[in-house]
Parts: sequence; structure tokens; C-alpha cells
Amino acid sequence: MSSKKISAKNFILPVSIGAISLIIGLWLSQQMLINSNDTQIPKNLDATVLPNARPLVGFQLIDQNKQLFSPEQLKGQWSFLFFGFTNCPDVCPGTLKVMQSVWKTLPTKMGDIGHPKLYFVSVDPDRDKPEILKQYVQFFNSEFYGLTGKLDELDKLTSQIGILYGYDDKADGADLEYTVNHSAQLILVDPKGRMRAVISPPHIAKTISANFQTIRTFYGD
Amino acid sequence: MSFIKTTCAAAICLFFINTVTAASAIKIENAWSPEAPPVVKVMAGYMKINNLSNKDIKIQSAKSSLFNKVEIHLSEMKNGMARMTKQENLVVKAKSHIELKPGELHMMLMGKLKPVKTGSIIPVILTLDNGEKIHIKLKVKSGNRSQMKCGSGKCGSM
Repeated sequence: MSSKKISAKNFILPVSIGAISLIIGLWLSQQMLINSNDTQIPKNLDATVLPNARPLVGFQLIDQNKQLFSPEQLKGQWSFLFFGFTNCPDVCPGTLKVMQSVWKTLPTKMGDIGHPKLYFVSVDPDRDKPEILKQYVQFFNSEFYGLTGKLDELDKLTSQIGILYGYDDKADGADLEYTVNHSAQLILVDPKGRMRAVISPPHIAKTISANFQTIRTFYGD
Repeated sequence: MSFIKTTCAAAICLFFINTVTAASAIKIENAWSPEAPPVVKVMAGYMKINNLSNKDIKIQSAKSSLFNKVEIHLSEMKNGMARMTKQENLVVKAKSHIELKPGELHMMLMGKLKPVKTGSIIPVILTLDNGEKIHIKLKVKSGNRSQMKCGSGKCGSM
């Protein structure tokens, strides 16, 4: 009886080990397959792709619904970041119009795997309160998000991705008619919350759509 | 009676001359403004300004009854950085034209006083250096600007 038990045990153990090794092996190969492209760059792109995706960390912004926004929230899907201000009559609405067109060409819908997000980050928090940002971004697409925050928190993000901004003729208090100079690149963040690509102006909807799909297919969702 | 006649004739004549000179010197084409989110107080105006005369013409100021202030700005893209600079006394060279268009020169309509949406007309008055006033009607369009062009500067990359 006991010897039978022992032989059963003897049988179960190697099988279990084999099965576990097989599972680990499969998992590893799967991971290697997923990560095999991680440090390579897709070809024929009109975008600057970072061979080593850069994690974005350590900032806290406020979203259009006055909720805190942390780097963790960039994880789970591809995201486009564009920096600007709402009192910008030319370049910002122009770019958001372009992104509106890009959204129309996406093969995915909200909630689908691989469906990106767009964050318009205002670097003019004095004027762009969350409620203004909300109305502003949703004018272009109800799926778009607005972010802003304290200047030092914005700087923690912009300095990580090489976005510059500054004010012209901004006096303390009175005059609200200053303008904001800002980098006009689109930053593409991967589903792990890492900066993966930079798309420079001129922004053309067709090119952005095609580049995004290439990058997405190359690195995976 | 004949005095009145002469005065009238002179007035009509003057009026006529004025209209003719205005029409012959500056011709505005395709004046439009992209519809902006209602929450925004700033809008842009685009158009082609033709100078049909043999003299350079300076645009000294602009105003609109729907906005607090109207300026002409230049969007420039340098090293991927968007910058706007106010253009004082914009000159339209003799027998030439300038074009106000997305991502470049644009009319900056600041401090919106009334709601403006697609289909609205924004009246703008340009004052030239010779004192002449040009009345422009900007048609507000939902304008699908699927393409952004760089300014006169370089389209830089990081």
C-alpha cells in the first residue's frame, strides 16, 4: 500500500516538474517574443522612435475632472501627449483638428485593445482650469482628455520628454493676454507608460495614423 | 438748388472715387475663421490680402465689434517649438499679396464678446496707413484642417 503510494508520488513529482517547466518555458518564449522588438526600431517612419523606451515617472497632474493624474494612469494603452494652451488660436486647435482626423481613421473603438488615448496637456495652468480644459478638448473629440497641474509638476513631466514652454509678456496679475510658446511635438507613450516616439510638426493626419499603426504593431499593445 | 446739386454730385463723386480706390488697392479673398471651442476667448482669422496698387500698403490696425482686440501674429515653428509674435504695421508690397493661413501669419481675435459658431460672420475693419478702412467679413467654418504646415522657420525635430 505504502509502496504504491510512494511509486505514485514518484510518478507525480517528475510529471509536475515537467509540466511546470513546460509552462515556464512557454511563458518565457512568449515573453521573449513580446520583448524581441523592444530595443529595435520599425523602419520607414516619419517619427523619431526611441530604441530604449523611457519610463515616465514622478509627476502628479490634474485631469479635466479635477482628479489627480499619476504616471500609472498612462499604463494600459498607447497615449499621445500634446502640450499647449487653450488661448492658442492657431497651432493648438490646428493640431487637435489633425488628431480629430487621426481618430476617425483608427481601426479600434473606445474600450478596444489597442485603442489609444489623447492627452492635451496645458502648460498654462493660470488660465486653463480643469473645467475649461474639459470643454476645450471635448469640442474636438469627446474621447480626448485634458491635463494640467502646478508648474513644478508640469516641469517634472516636460523635462523628462524634452518639451519646452515659456510665456511672452506675462505680467503678474492683470493682463491675461500673454501668449505661451511651446514645443509642438506629439509624444507617443507605450502601454507600459514609457515614452516611445516623438512626432514632429508639420502634423499630418494620414502620416500620424500610419506611423502609429506601424509602431503599435511592431511593439504590441 | 444748383449748389445742392453740385454738392451732391461732389459727394457722390467722392464716395465713388473712395470706393474705387478702396476696391482697386486692397482686395481680400477667402476670409475665414475656424470654429473654436465656445469656452475659448481667442480665435484666428485667415485670408489672402492682395495689393493691386503700385505702392506698398501698411496695415496699421484691425478691430472687430465681436472682440476686444485684433492683432496680426506670426506663428513660427523653430526646432519644433511653436512661437507667436505680434506683427506691427504689416506691409503688403506693391502688386503683391500676403496670405494669412494656419500655422503662419494669422489674425488673432482676442477677448470674444459674443458667442461665435460655424456660419457666424465676424466683421473686421482694417485701417491702412493712408487712413483707408477695409471692411472684411470672416466666415466661421468648422474647417477640417487635416494638415498643419510649418512656419517660415525650420520644422525641427528633437
